[in-house]
Amino acid sequence: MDATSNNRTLFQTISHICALAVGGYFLYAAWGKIGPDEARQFAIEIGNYKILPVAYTNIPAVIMPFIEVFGALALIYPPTRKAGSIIIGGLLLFFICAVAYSALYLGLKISCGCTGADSGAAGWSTIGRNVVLFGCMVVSNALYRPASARALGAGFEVDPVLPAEPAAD
Amino acid sequence: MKKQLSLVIVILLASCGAGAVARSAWYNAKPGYPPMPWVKPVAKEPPQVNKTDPATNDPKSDNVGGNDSLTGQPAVVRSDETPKDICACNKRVEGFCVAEIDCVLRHLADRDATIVDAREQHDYDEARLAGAIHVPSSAVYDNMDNLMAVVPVQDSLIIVYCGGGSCEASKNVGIVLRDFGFTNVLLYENGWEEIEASGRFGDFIEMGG
Repeated sequence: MDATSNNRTLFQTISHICALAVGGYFLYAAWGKIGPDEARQFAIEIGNYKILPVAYTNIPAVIMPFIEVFGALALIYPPTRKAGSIIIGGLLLFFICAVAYSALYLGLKISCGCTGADSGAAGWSTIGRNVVLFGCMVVSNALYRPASARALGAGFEVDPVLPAEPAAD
Repeated sequence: MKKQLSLVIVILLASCGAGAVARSAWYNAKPGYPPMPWVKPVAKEPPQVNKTDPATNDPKSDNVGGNDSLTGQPAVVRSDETPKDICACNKRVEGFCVAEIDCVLRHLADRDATIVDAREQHDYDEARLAGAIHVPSSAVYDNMDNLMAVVPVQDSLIIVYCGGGSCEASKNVGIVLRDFGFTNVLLYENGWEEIEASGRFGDFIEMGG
């Protein structure tokens, strides 16, 4: 096994570990928000952020945990990693903006609601954690190459361009 | 890339579907359980009650206490009280009457109200009002059983206090209490900041875990 091949294996391993870490965190976070009481509590946490009118906080409180679950599973499963990254990345960016606006800009002393009940106060630590998760997600996506690309020895392209077959007469 | 974007849309739609199914399953599992918070419209500010009873024009009549919290019914006050009831509902937030420090002190002395601490665990562990039941805003549903065990009558008076400031915590807890059918909830908005700063609570403060 040459050095390039070793590097590729290492990159793949790092990619899987990062995806597992981010996906695992999101599965854990969603677990604390799925359930009748948990959804009600999460609706309150969303309302605290003062981003949505309170009458509209119930729908995201019920749906968002499932987006986290499916997004995390898509991120962990290699062939759907890119789709998972788009969802989880979007969620992380949204969370960072929400905490920055509510906790830092408005100065609200609110619970983060990240992992359901008792998940600590929203603030710089929450933003820091989300930035780290976002970084892990970017790394996992950047280092991952699908099996088809690996077999052809191509770069990090998802769909390698195959030579066109000659047209039949 | 197109395939991945289609997958994103599929995942989002599946999440909506799963959420809808879960929501209906949760409601069927617990019939009669209170609805999601915020579904009820917030009570509008009631018209200001004239402190003088128009029928008798007597400022000491029984109707001088203003409206009772939430019920909108005239509060009954003792006839030996001054016309200015310290627990009159002069300000409402989210439909709840806001209690002032004198009112809270009176109820603490009379021991006729259940005190609920809506702050977080570490604040509660540090110090709290004596006998306060801990129902933190960040885990209100998890702690409702503790409260239900001590407050059997749903029209019992409950005073919810928070850390002070914007006091979101006590509003949140109050809203859930209302959903559970507690009809007589007062919010102490100035909360722990005032309790500490005023120095008037003395023996009513409990320290340590």
